[in-house]
Amino acid sequence: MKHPILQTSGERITLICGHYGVGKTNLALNVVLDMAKEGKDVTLVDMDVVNPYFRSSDYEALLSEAHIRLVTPVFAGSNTSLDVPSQKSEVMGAIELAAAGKTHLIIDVGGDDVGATALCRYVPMIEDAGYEFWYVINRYRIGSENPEDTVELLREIEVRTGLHATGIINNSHMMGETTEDHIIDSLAYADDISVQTNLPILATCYPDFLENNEITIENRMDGRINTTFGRETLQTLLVNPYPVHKLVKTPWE
Amino acid sequence: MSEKVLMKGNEALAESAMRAGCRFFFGYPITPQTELAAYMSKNMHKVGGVYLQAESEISAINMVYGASAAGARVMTSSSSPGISLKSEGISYMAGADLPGVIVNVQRGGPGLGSIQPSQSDYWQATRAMGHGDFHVIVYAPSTVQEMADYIYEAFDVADKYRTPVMILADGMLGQMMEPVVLPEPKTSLPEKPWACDGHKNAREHNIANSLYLTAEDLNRLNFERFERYETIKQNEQRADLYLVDDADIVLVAFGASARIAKSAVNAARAIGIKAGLIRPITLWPFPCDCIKQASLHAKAFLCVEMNMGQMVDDVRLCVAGSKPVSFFGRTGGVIPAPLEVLDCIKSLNEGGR
Repeated sequence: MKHPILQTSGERITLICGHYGVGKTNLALNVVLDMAKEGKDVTLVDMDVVNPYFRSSDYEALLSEAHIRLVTPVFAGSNTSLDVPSQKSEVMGAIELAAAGKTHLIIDVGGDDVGATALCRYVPMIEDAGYEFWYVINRYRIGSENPEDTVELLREIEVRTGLHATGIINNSHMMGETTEDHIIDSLAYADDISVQTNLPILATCYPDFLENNEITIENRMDGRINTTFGRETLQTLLVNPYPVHKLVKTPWE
Repeated sequence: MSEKVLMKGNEALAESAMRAGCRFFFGYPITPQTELAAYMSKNMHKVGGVYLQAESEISAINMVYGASAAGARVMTSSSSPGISLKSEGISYMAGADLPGVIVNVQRGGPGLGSIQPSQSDYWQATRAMGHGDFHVIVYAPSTVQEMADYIYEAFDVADKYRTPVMILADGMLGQMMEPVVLPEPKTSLPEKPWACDGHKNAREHNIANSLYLTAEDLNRLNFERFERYETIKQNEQRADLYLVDDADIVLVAFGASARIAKSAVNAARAIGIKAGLIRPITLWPFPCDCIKQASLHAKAFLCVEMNMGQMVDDVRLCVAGSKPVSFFGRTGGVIPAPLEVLDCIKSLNEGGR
């Protein structure tokens, strides 16, 4: 069954927002690649004009292989890293294309309200076209460890852009050290944020390397120990489980 | 012990510095270091400290001088071009025996260079961090955890020897994120009887100064300071050794390059080549003792750096001609690939250079 976040709703523009370093870029890359696999026309806009490294623009080859259109800031990616934040006119073209129903547009927005500022210029067009706004959260990322701060951060992004979140993506992880427990321990945190914001949890991400782990869980009812594989357990325990592949890597990985 | 969290290297430096008792930060923004200053600007006031963006790097380092003279735990941070601007002030601090921590999140050079990672300030950090006869202690972390650990230690070491201490990181380490356990906030800091913090007519006034108009005085002071440097060389050399005991080919690499070198060592071992890695953690004092030790059994040494070959000079001084020392480097933000390094290891193992 297709994951809910990959299903085409009425809206063809999806904004990926959240605190710096919660894993927005890695999520965006996974989503566009999964959408492209289903034969959809997909466009990814790298709207991050804050972060100099580890950004969507660095994955040009991977995306072009999958026939995904990539719109980068003027100075980003493999050709240049000049510290001058500016967007290409192609961003507007991509929004128009999405509004006309000709592409699925994913916008990888920079972190916090500061990063989201770059979005403001396009807000009227995005509002007219209709949008999904995913608020990505990670319980293990410093600055967003508690629900109150994380909700506050969303409010700051909403106030800055005038756009409203439509759902939460629980992307809690500890990078390569993520265990099943990290994911399971993040569920209450995500629930809390979901209740406080009255937003649905659209996906609970987990690293795909957990799928083949053999894990044991104690059945609380009868005390029996069950051994299952990660995939089975995670798919049962998580709200809208979504396996993600680690695409954003360091040069020695 | 506190819980693990995900942090960027730059953020870990900032948070850990505050936990080490740093209450004054003076800086000026520059990529790829800016998150450090941004983190300080958000959080320093919460611990009762002062964050100040100065009008220039030169102002910032002189503010560090002033706060240090008054006995505070103080730091500044920048990236390569900004560090060059601070070098005069660092020399003044060394000349006045003032402790302080300076972070260099290196980028490509020379000149404006690039905003991508580099290690091309090794010579500057270890040889000439300003004019005059002096050294600063230089730490080269290679993980986000070590960023937190060594800056925490740097403040103690700076106070202990009354010297500026540098954290020599690079853009990769500054920008990348890893899980980190932060150290506990320090509750007591060392007394500083030399600080210019008001004598209240109860003692002689203290002076922080690097100007000596009597030749004999300056001569004596420099000799005394170099005696202290000898103590530092004996006590503070740090290195991490990985599979070195039986290694034929010994790689030497620091910081982010060491992560790449380690991958290459593992790949070499997988095909039966006895490779190992010496990772200097202090670049000054340079961990010469373990390199000398390894030269007794190694067939060859290979330095991997993100520069044109700088630390390789120190390795050659340690090996003293007893074994061949090769170099592999990339610059300008190009990062050596583990496979390229593996090719060098293979060629050395077959007797090449």
